[in-house]
Amino acid sequence: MSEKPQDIKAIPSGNSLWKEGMGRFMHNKLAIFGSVFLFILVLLCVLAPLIAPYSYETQNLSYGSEPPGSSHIMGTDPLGRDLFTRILYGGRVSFSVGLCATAVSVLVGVIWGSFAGWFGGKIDTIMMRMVDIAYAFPFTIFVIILMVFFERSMLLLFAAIGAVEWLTMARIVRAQVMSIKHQEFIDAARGLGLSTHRIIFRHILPNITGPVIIYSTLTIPAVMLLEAFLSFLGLGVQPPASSWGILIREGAETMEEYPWLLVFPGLALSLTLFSLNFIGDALRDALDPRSSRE
Amino acid sequence: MILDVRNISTVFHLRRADIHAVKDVSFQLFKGETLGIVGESGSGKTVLCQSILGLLPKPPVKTSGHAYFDNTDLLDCDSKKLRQIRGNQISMIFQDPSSAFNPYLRLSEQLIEPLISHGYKSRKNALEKARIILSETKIPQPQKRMYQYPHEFSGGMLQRAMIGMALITNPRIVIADEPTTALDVTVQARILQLMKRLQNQYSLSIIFITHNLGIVAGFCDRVVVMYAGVVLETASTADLFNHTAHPYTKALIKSVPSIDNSKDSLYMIPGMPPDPAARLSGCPFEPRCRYRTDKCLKSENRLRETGRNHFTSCIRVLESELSL
Amino acid sequence: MISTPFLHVKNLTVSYKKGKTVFTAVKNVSLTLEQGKTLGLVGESGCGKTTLGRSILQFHKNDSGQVLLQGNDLSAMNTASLKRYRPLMQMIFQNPYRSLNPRMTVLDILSEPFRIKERISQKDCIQKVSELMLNTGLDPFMMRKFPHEFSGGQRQRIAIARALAADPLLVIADEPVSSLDVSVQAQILNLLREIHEKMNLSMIFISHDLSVVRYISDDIAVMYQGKIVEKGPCDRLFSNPLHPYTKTLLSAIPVADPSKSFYTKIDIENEFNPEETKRGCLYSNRCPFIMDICKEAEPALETVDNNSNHECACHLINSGS
Repeated sequence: MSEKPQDIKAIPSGNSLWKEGMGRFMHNKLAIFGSVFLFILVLLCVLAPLIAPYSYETQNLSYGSEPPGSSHIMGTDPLGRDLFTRILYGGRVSFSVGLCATAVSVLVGVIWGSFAGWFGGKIDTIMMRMVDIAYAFPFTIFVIILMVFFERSMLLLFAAIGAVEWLTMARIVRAQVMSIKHQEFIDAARGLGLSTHRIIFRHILPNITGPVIIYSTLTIPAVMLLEAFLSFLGLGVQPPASSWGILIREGAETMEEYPWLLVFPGLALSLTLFSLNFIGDALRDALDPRSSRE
Repeated sequence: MILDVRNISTVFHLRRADIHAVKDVSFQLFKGETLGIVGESGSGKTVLCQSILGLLPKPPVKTSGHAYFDNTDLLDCDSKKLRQIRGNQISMIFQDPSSAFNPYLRLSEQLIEPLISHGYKSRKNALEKARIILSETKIPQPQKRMYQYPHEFSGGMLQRAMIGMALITNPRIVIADEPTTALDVTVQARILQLMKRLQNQYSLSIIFITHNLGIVAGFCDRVVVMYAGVVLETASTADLFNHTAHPYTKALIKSVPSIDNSKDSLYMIPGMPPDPAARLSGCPFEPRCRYRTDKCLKSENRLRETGRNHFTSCIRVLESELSL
Repeated sequence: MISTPFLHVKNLTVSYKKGKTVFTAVKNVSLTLEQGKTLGLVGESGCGKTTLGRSILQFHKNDSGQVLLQGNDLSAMNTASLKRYRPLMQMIFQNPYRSLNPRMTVLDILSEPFRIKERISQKDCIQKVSELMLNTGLDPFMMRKFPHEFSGGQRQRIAIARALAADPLLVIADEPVSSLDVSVQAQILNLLREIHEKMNLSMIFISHDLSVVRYISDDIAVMYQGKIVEKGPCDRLFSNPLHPYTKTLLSAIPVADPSKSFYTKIDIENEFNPEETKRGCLYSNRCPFIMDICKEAEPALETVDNNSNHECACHLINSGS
């Protein structure tokens, strides 16, 4: 007891809340299944140029609308393009829209929300009223206006979706910051003479990572659905590039004759959404501070 | 005798380890008496009472033993029968009055809830009963205040209301779990005074859980001292203080701050309670005890009589090697 | 020339908004604290003792009055110059579960106070933190653990160590032991006293329990509804309490002796009532010794005994009857 450790390596390290939470996460079978499935799917999409059996835009009308078989495992579309290949390439678009738009929403939402929550008072009121106004604005009209005035591009799509999704994130972050701001360890930090940005970055943000991560995993599927919806309306990605939303739209048109064109892209999207939701729920259970008592 | 608790053991089966929160505890509660259960946090005093009332979630927790209340074994009841007894014949008072009430309901609704749920038909009569019980607890203007919301009351007033809620069904036993720990000393004194008066009026038996022996001295008739899930000593309050028979009890008595003692000697027990996951043999207090010898760990930790109705587990006191 | 006291609180009034109503928590309070001494601040919850402590540290802005630390008026300073004084005054909070950042290791928590002042090598940092932990009765080999891996008493030790890490001159302890078990309470009180003596700290110890305050204080101030009603040297206040409220507080303390039943001594059922006490003494609706004048005029804090600095605000005492 009376000796002093000389070296950091001699000191046994503790279990952070984060580590304990991950321990609980690992006990959730559905979440593990979801993570593994997602990992494989993302890997396949990323490696699409290497593993895809065909090119995603090469048309071969003599093989149009083939049902799943040995040469085309998921069949082909009316233009003779291999569906498996198109799903892999479509997944690249869907995943990157999901990740980028979520990243935008996290970045903007966390900054906006933590500023509003930390400063409070008039600043908070003004910032959050702006969020309310943006909330009230109909999303579809907003995107259509954007698409009409600017040239359609992936970047615009990211921006449009991110611009909507950050609103909820900002509200969540603000509420979290408000409750942590009144905890006594923040007073203690102020009492040490710490600067505002140090308090926010070292004491507040680490304590809200849990909710932010949980909400992000739930935002990704929401964003992917939005992209599918916009593509379905013809406002999203343009052919010949494809996304899961476009594939589903095309599949839906020929649903009665060629059902596999709807089933496979639909399956890819819904399994992905399921997995992300399982992961999100498991993270919420694992990282919720209330469950770390006992 | 109104409650006879025999050999209760409670185990929490957790992922990492089994935690033996209560180990083979027995005690009796007589009519009209106040029994103090004293121990530090983690001593198992709250878990013991929750086990008796079947309030712990069944899968991770396993309770064995018996608790006879009117010839019914509470640990052997189905949940329906237990619900009839709980809140009706045996009621509870909790530590933190501000979180024990639902903030969205008027006090009146919450006060009559135990009555309604135990088959009281007339709402009007129930409300009248609530008003009477509030005036018994000396809440000023009960007719007006019972229709207010919990946040409109101070902590002391809410604790009074909670006592009223516990008494509204005319229970025979009240289990009070640290009812004054969250309160100021002055409010604490008034709440204890109120409880004493109501106890006489309703001829209640009270189980009073606390960590402060100072409160026990003025309030309880008999005391059970718990440590690390086991009972170390049980005696009448006078015997416990005047003929203390366990070093742990002695240490607890001495660590109560007082205004009479010398200012320079605040006694403290060194060290910390044992890890609840560790399985121990012998006396659990041994590592912190200033009177420990080799045999403390070797002999079985069991209560034996040292005087009339005075039991201790300290082997050295029992063998008359030690007088405290 | 009059020497400047270490800490001088002059006519401090603090209020805050609760919804639309303005609530004055501290009313015209004056205090002095000499270097190396401890002042006990006692009263029921809601009496303003915590607000007073927090406004001395400038967590709350005061409405009027001054807080002079070694002659420098903290309440008139801007944020930048206040930042230099902040580390000199540290607070120990009531709830050790809320006062430590759950995401930081003990090493991070305890090294933060000196890390913000200077760059320091990891080795020196570990040395310093080890020293702090040993001084507060903690095992230095636990320094990479997180707060939730410690018990309540140990966490309070960490909080004390953090306060000491800033090398403060003044420590304000706000009910540091009231959420702890009696046995742990004694450990923490003894630790605070030991540190106080060793480091020549000045301390303000806030509590609702006079018996706890007594072990650690040189002087005691009793607060009721934002005002100081009695103030004096510790021994004197206990041997000769004057204000009826102080007597009530004393009689409410549980005594570990079954022959003295403490709760029968109190026979006051009333709570503070702002309507009934609008004009006179704030304690008048609870006071067992109420006189006519108590309902009419508010008593001022007056010196009772010139030799011992014993002050009291009560008509019963001040009128000399």
